Amino acid sequence: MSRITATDRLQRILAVLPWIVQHQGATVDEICERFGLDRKALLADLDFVFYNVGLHPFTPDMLAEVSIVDDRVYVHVGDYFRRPLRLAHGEALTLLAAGRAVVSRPGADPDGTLRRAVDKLANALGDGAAETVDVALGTADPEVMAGLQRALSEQRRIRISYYSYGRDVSSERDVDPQRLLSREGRWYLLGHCHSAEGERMFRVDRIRSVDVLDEAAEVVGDEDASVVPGPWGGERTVELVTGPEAHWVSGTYPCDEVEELPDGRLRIVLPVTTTRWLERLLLRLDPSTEVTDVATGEPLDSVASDAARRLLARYEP
Amino acid sequence: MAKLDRLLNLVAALLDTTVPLTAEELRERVPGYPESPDAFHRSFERDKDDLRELGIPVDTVVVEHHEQPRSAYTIQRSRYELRDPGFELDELAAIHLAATTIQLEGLDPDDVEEGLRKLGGLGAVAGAPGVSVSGAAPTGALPVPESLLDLFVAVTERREVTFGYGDAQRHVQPHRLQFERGRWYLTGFDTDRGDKRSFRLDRITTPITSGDANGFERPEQVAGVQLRPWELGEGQVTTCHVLLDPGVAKSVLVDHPDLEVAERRDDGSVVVALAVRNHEALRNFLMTLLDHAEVLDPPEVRQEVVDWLRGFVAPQGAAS
Repeated sequence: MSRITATDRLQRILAVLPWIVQHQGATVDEICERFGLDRKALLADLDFVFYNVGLHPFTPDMLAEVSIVDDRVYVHVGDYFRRPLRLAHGEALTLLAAGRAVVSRPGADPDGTLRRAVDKLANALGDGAAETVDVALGTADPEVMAGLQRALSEQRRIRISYYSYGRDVSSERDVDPQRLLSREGRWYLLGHCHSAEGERMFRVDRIRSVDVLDEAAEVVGDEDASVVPGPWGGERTVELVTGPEAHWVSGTYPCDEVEELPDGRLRIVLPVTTTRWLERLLLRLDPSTEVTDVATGEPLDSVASDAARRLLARYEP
Repeated sequence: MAKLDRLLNLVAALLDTTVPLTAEELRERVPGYPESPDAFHRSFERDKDDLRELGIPVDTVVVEHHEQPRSAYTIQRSRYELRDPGFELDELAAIHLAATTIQLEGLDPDDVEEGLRKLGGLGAVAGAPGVSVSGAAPTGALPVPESLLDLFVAVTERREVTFGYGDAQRHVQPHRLQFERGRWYLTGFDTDRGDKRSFRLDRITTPITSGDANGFERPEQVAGVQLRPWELGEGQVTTCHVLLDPGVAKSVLVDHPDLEVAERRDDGSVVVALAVRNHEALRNFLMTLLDHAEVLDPPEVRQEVVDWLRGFVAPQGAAS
């Protein structure tokens, strides 16, 4: 056991003791497994309670009584430790938010064990707590999500129809799925893409359909799940000089530089991976926005005007 | 471990007593405090702080003691004790598993285990029936903005809050917290504006000031944050029909599951009916769909889109 402070230990004893009192005769192993303690730490805590805990005037009848017979634990202590301390706010938030996040993922079992557990937790936290926190880790078609989860648990290859937002095209790809993860409010599938011959992140809400194939997925070693997927490969870096109303850009996309110019306009430098992505951005900014490729110094004004012409063709054939 | 000794017996004494006890009375009942009055008071104050930091509700009340007002202390059981959730072992395991796959960035990771112990144990994750620990378990990380914990307390304890938002102070009865599209939102009743409002937590500019517990009644139904920006605003509602091509229809409907679908065509394209108050927000939404969407009617909204696009193709200096 590494060094542990008096308050850490106090917290542990106040949490575990009420359970032991309510479950007289539980074995040392059972208690250790349930509470994630090692045997030595538990025995030390019990020993401590035995010798030190009680009420004034600390006559034998006012002291805790601990006995361990055949590895079974019996504790008698005053009524004051009959229930554990309520959850601290951080504990309550962590458990409730995590539980609700997993329960609300698309395709989750509405009557499952976790759903029951989250309801009980909310109930223990107090009236109305159930409706106070909602966590949506991302939107997704439940059928797609269910297909991906089945493929992952059976370790099977999938064929997906995927819409690439950046390049604005749809394609069919064979993928060996590795894991599902949520970052910044989106679900992503991490997998080995046979079309691209490499690891790729797919946004789950852009997967239009999933076929679970008969082939087994090639299992790749433990990949680093901490890799945050970003659409930001940084194909090129562009500089925008635009109106002050474009402040939302820096709150929405990762920008390298944001600067207010003396005339009130904004200068924004940001990485752009594809032309389609840049088109979507420019069409939402003021038409007078100036765009430059930072590396070459080349103006990119035709990006917005070409896109605008394509859109106009729908309205004015 | 003289300190642990003292703290445990202090908690026991404060829980057991029916009348608040003064520092001197506690000193008689709890062994282990130093002799000198100064040293005693210092360590007694520190002990009280330590207990409060663990979330133990040590109340201070003023009592008359030989006709002099004195501080006295107690712990109310109703505020100390956790309601028994009655968890089965597999339910504990399910919560534990959820908490290991979803991280709240910035909160103490030990909170998970400390909390679970109070709730009855960690559950044996691997062995519990009905709990899948396969690779299919998704993982995620939630950001924790500075104001989240205070707002969580305010929402669950029904405390009115005040905070800076943009350049104004807002007074809100907080009803609900939601994590949507990668952001935390608070929805509640804005008492200055007399109406329901939603706030982005990342735009709150000051620490949260909270009022007393049970400061308001929570409504029966709390609608969540509104994430269709074209519906926000004060103006007249115009119903716009927008045609979505097959390539984008599905992802738009997944993103906005409550949209009204007016027509589904054989080629897979979909016509949605949008209730538009904010025309600029509608335009921004349309622009992200590029040439895969088209306003069908009314004609004046079609014209607005055309006028906007013409702004980009009008000659502007030396565009190639």
